[in-house]
Amino acid sequence: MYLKRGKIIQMSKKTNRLLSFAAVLSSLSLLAGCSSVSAAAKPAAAKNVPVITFGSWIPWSAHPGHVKLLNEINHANRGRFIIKPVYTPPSGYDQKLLTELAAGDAPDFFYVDYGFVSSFAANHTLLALSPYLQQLKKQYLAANPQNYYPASLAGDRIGGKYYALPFIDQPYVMYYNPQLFKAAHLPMPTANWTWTQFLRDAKALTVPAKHQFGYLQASGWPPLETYIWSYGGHMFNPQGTRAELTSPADLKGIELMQTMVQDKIIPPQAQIENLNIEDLFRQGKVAMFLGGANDGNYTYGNHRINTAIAPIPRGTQQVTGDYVAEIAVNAKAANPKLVVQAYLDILTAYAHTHVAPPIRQYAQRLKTIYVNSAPGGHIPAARIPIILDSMKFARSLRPMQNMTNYYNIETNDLYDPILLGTSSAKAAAQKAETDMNNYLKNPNG
Amino acid sequence: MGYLFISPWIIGFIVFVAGPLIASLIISMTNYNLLSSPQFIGLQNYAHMFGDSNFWLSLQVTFYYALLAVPIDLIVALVLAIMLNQNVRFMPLFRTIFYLPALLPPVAISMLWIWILNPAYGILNTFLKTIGLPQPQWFLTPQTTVPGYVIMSIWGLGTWMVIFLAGLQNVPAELYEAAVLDGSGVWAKFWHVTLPMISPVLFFNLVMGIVGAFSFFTQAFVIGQGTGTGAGVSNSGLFYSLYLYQKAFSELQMGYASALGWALFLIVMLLSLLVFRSSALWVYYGGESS
Amino acid sequence: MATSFCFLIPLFWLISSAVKPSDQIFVFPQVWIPHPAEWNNFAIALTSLPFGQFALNTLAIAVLVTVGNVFSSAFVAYGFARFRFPGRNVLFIVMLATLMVPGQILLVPQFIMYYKLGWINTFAPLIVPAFFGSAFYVFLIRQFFMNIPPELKDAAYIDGAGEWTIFSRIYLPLSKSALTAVAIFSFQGAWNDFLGPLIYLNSQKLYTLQIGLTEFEGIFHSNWNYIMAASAVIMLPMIVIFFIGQRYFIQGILMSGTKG
Repeated sequence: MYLKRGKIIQMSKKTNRLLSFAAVLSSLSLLAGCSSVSAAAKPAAAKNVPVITFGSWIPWSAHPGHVKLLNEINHANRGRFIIKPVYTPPSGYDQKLLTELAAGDAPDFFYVDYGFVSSFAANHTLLALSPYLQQLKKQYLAANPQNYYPASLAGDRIGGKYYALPFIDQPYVMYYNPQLFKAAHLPMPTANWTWTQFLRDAKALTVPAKHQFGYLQASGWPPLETYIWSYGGHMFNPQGTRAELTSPADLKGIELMQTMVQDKIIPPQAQIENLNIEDLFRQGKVAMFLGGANDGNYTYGNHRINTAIAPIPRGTQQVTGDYVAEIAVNAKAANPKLVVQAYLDILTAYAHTHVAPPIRQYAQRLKTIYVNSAPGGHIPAARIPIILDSMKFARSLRPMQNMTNYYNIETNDLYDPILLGTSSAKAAAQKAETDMNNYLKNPNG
Repeated sequence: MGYLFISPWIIGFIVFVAGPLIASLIISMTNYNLLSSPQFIGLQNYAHMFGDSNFWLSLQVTFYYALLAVPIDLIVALVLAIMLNQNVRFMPLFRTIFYLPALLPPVAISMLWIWILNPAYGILNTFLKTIGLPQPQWFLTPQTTVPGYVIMSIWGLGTWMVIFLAGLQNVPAELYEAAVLDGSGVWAKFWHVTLPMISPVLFFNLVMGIVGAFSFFTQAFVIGQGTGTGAGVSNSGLFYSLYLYQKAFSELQMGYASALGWALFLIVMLLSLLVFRSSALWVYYGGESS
Repeated sequence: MATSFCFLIPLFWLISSAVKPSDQIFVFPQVWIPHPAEWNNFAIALTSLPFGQFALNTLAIAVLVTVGNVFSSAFVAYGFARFRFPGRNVLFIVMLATLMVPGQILLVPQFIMYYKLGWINTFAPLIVPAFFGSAFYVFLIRQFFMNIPPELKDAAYIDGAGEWTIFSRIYLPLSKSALTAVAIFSFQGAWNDFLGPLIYLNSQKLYTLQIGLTEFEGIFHSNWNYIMAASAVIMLPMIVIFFIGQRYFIQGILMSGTKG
């Protein structure tokens, strides 16, 4: 799960976006070899077959897998509709989408970043899916919200109706480098390991002489919420009207990040500026990395690397975060019923190809999913139970109005001061709490 | 007949400048996000501005940049121009080298300088390390972000230099000869002849420099993109134009953004007025006694 | 002189970084002359996004803007230079004053105007304003026109020529250098423009090179060799234009800056 230094928003989004690209570089080398790559699926001779546009942040021409998926759906539905992909670049995706919705030329259904569904729905730009889903429940597993992991739906239900459904749910797991563990004479992480054991391991794995670090923490990644939750903290009170960042539980999570800085088990921020942090793990310069289940980390460049995963360490409880992205339908789509069908076809197809599907039934079939870079083309058996377990105890961020400001406060008040060493955890938490409370009163300020 | 010829400009002025300016005033008194119709809210946007810490921050960042970049750029540009004016061999070559960076695309320049100013792998810090100076973290820490931009701007001062050069070449040689006859040294020549004679050029550059600092956008946007907030660590790169852009296009708060635009207009007008007024004191136009 | 050498270092570093193999980027101390020099990086960088399309878009916009600027500014300049009419000086000063108005102020209302016209996601907002005369260019050309001896016009007048003939057959041909200066400045401005394309162009197929470059960096955010390669290529046309038209740039500045 790579992150441009400090870009939390892009972090949460970019994770899977960039992952979906599966490192465009390797796609490029794939392209070179793969002569049968067709350009983005072009609509066949349109004999009044409705063309449904599908907006995403994936450059289709670079993703033969996605193109194949789309061609199959279009083939299965020939004569009824044709789905045409539309690409909007990931940076500024939601803003561009907003402008397009305002101008009336947004696609019929489109990717939405987690947390933004509510603001789009508030502007009456999204189709309320529930009535259509009701009708199609028997036909599609994807049409029944009950089939989804509850955490993945956190951002989608507004006023009792669903306005979007997730197409991917990646729990965060701890990737680690078994060779470095062996070299440091450490036992491999177990399913029940704690942050205390983690810190101890990380210390042993940090060897300044070799420019090797035990762990990596950047501004925005891994998310602070994960640490806070694992100590029982919630950031806000249950009603979401007040921030609680200075509560003892929350503070423990924030202090965990500070400990990483003080113990020097993470690379200094200056050294990770402008580079791909997950690459450092892949190169063996960092021994552990909290990433999304889809990251895989099976290869680096063109050669295979040996990595393993463990569930996230426990604090007072075992909870991890997840990366969720949704697809929503344009409120102004012509022929909504048909569009929703196409939409569900895509969701179902994705559930067969993405790690991990947010739909329980499909998630159980995780081992059948084809993963290009994995050894043997499938997720190693050892990883599957870890991923499935993690999905069960994964939690999503609380969707807020104007997520951008929420992320900004985190960046400015928590990540940057603590990671750059300019503030203590407590002082940072206090400032963040004040700012969050102001933000709650006035989200658009 | 004359009106006919200038009519394109008049039309353009009304449609693209005056009209929008007035419309902007009206929009600034509404809440408008393009998706629903505007709601009239009177002067609330302006009231909100006063309590908006990011508004003040953006003014601070922009002023800080202007206060550093404008004098430094002008002085360095002047010094370079004077050096080039000394009838050096290959003068055109040097002039080319100094002027070229000013014409390159700001986006590409930003990419280059992000990399040059990288705290760990950038060549500027390597250079500072070799000569034993401390290495600031540039765009990584709030205090050194604006200085990072200022350094970038020094590379791009070619236009000022060329303008100064032109002004210097217009200084009549007789004045220098007269000064030499009076026994003036180098510094005196500079202070009493060069400076007054180029003061109109200096004045022009100063005004344009101030306007430029307040319109500074592309580099701030591109470099800000690499940070969590989109505007530098702790918003230390939140230039006024960038803030306006964010309000208008990231949040679709068209009303508030228009208010910000008007505030900018007033500020720049005020500053320009100050410079214009003060110009009577120090700008010398041929024909007056110095 | 040493200073000019310093000024050139960034460009040298640009090329040096552009041809670096990926494993030589994040090393300390830096590698100045990479072995092997991967000139292939240029090809990889430029083919991973439709830079060809971007280049065509940018070229189209730049050419149209230049044509618009040159002709409309010359047209308006003729009006200011050759005629006396009430309010001429006032209007001229107003025109100059617009140079001091930061564009940001007009950003929102202009955007809303184009939005209502349905011109968002088209090239129109970027091109149309260029056909209405631009203050700086008008000023530049007017200065030039004022230096054309009035006898030429009077002679033509007596011969029965109309204003348009005088303008197009006498003034325009005589002002080739000023017009070229305007053309070059205008082309450069359009090529480098970022804010306009950023807010008006939403579809990737309409992107200009500058927007394409930021998108490229967003995807390849740690592949500095490719980013530098792409940046270098995007800078190249400006460098070429500069070397060819250097004296026009300088002349243009001479004609305007000193009269500030």
